[in-house]
Amino acid sequence: MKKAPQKESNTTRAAPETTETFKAAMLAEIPYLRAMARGLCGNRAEADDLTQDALARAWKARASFEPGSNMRAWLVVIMRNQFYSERRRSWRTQPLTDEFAEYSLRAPEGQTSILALGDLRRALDLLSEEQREALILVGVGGFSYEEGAKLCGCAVGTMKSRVSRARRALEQILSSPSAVLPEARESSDKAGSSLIDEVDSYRAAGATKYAV
Amino acid sequence: MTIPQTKIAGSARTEQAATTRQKAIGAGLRQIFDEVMHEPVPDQFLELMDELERQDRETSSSDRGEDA
Repeated sequence: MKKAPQKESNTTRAAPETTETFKAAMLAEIPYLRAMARGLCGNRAEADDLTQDALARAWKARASFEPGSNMRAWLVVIMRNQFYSERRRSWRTQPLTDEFAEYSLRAPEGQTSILALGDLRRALDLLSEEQREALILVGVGGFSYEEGAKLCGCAVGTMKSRVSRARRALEQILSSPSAVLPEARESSDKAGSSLIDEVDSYRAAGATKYAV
Repeated sequence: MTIPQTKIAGSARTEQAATTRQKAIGAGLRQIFDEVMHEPVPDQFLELMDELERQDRETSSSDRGEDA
């Protein structure tokens, strides 16, 4: 067959001998991707599904990875695309309460007095998608505003404003006495659907209500 | 960051409270993120990667078969 020797193979193509290192590099990013996905989806099972889908896509598309470029960013772009295409169908239709319960249980003692993680998680869920994503990418994901803007295909100024609005919105939600947050945690099973309804109505109003 | 002394009396307290809350929010977000980051990667992920690689090897070994 007409096959070029590996050494001369196109640099944009993952040559067989680099398959192992490519796989290793992807494996190393799995914890990060899972955390990112959890931020996007809120729900553990969905987040892990999303991560797996993204990994499979990335693996199949690895010839398109530019050697030497940022693999994490490349993977996040793939996962983000997957998230938004999947999301058009049936995202967040399931109660998110298990996840919240998990977080509140795990919150260490010192932390809960200032801020219960379950409340924060729930508040995060009330943000608009754009704000939440911006906050996760830039706020905790370690991307710069510039990188975040590139990932999301928006202007740097837009990314900055999303992040700062997200922060203020969280603060407002968490300091609001009418927050739905604490009660719902107690009776997560029964309150599941009503919490979701409430979340939806918050979210519907959210963009304008909290993002002043 | 230095704040002019004259401004401290009025809004400084609320500003300070807001800063404290922002810090708590930042720390909380970090904690939520890190908790997942530090979870052991479930086996299903490793299995998936192995499976993807295996599928690949099968494809490429049949390619190589033509070469050999």
